[in-house]
Amino acid sequence: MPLGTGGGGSAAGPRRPRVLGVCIGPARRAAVVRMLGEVVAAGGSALLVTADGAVAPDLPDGVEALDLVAEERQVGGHRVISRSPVRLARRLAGRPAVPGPSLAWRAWSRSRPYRAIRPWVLWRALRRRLDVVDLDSLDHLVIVSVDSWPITWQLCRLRAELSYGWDVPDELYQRVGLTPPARD
Amino acid sequence: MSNARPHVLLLGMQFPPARGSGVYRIRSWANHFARRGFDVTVLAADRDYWVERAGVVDAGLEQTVDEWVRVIHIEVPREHLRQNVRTMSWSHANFPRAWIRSHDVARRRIFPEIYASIIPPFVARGLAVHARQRVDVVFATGNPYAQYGAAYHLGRLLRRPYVVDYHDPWTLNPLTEDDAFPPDHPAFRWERRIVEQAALTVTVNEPLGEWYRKRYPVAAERVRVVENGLAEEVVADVAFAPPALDVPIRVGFVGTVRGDLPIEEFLDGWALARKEPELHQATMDFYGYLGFFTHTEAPIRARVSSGVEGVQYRGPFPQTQLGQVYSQLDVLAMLLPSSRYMTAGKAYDYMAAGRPVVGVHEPRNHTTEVFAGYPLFFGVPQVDAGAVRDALVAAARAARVETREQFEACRAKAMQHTWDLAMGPVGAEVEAMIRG
Repeated sequence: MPLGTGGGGSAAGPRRPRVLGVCIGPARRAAVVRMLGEVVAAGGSALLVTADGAVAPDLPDGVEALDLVAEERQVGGHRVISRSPVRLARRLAGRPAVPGPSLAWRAWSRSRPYRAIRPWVLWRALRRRLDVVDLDSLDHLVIVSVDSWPITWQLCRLRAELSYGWDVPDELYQRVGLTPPARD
Repeated sequence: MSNARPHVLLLGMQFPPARGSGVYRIRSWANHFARRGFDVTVLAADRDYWVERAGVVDAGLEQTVDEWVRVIHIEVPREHLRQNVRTMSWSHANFPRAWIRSHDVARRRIFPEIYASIIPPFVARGLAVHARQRVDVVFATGNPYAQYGAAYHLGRLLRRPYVVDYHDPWTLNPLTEDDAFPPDHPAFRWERRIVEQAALTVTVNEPLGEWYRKRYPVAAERVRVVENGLAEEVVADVAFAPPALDVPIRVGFVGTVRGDLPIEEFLDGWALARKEPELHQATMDFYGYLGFFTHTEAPIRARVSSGVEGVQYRGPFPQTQLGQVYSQLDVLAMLLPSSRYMTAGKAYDYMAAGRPVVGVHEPRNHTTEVFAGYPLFFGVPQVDAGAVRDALVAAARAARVETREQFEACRAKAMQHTWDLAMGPVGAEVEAMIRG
């Protein structure tokens, strides 16, 4: 849907603007959550993407959340190493399951090489959930650090009209006929 | 003495059509050497680089380059400078930490500056130029400092003398007047290597010259000062037109509006001055680019256009219209950081305008010395609102009663500072170095 044609929201179509917060890691989480809350309060829609299994408990009403931890363990070889053979054997033996990831996964996911490539792996995880992202309606990405770059770059390639930045610009609200939130 | 035309290889990444304050000095070196009868080959950044980084190029400035100057535009590696995620390469955007880390490692091995990656292409092209026409001297002028690294390598590879012309000091922070890096930073090692082996080290004012002599006693005899200068043809046509008593005064700043200028202090003083009868209904216009890069424009624009009455940002203009812009102003405000190691490049243009000049910087800024003897200079003892108001009021009074004699005296003072006059002694020394 081209920008500038929709209102703040209707039952028939997606609520605009639609903003996605790429919150990979804890940096600026509170600020992004606040911005997304403002978007929803103004009549838009917002999605918070995280990758630490800890979605903000105080997420404002209406802000959607997508945590990529589970999807991350399904990407490529992760599907294999994140499953502990010991735990599998316990399950097959009918013994009680032990919660938590495998030791191999723990070692790999905390390793330096993996930390270097993780933001890209998270993009591959997000790629499986583009239905939640609702790319056709997406207007803007809020980034938090260099870890947000892979998702930002890839989504901008998929949707050329997409803007991104450290915050939600007033102009984004105005384009869809909404009043930007008052700030100090 | 040889009769052949000497050939100087000028490393000037910021050569026109780049825009920015350093570009005038680089262009002037090229023109000066050309006028001395040198063959001049300039290695400069490609035009697209400036379009991408600064958003614009100054084609008019390119027209002021001597026709005997040959410019080779080199594609500057710039992936590491990209801040727009959308335009980054796949590897840079998708593996940012690994990419940045590997780039840092490579940079540390080449040269301790963010522009280190220009050294290989500049050295390679310099060697190619030499293969075609023997280079007699390598002359690196202006930022980035990696150019001095390239000059050092070329000097060694070609076995030719090299000269480094520092527009801004590298290891000295001119604002804090202290070291710019922690003690064990490789920049200190590199600068020592470059300066001590250079045929000449040139800088822009005497305080900096003194600093280099003290820091590098081995090279002290080879440190020279070439002050910035006036391009007399550019401000030749400024009209003498003092304002009538009943017309509001027009004050102006002309030059790059940098982020480190005392904008707030000046505007506070401006607001006070405008309440005085001398500046009733007066206007303050800022002319020029906002900073040097597109990403610094917005914050500077917000500071300049903060709603203070009578203040407007007028934007950049072609160099060819400089005289016209000065003609529309009655008083010039020269905002500068207060450092004794800084001299305003625009000071000489301001002089040539023949207007009262308000110096919005502490007297310790070297520009104060440059204006010694200028009949209509109004400095401030310290940069605060009250002092700025007083200087503006005094300048406005002087503007209304300015005589043609004063105007001519101001312009005569400026004419003592043309680029050719400033560069002549070092130009002659370089020529003597080549001709033996």
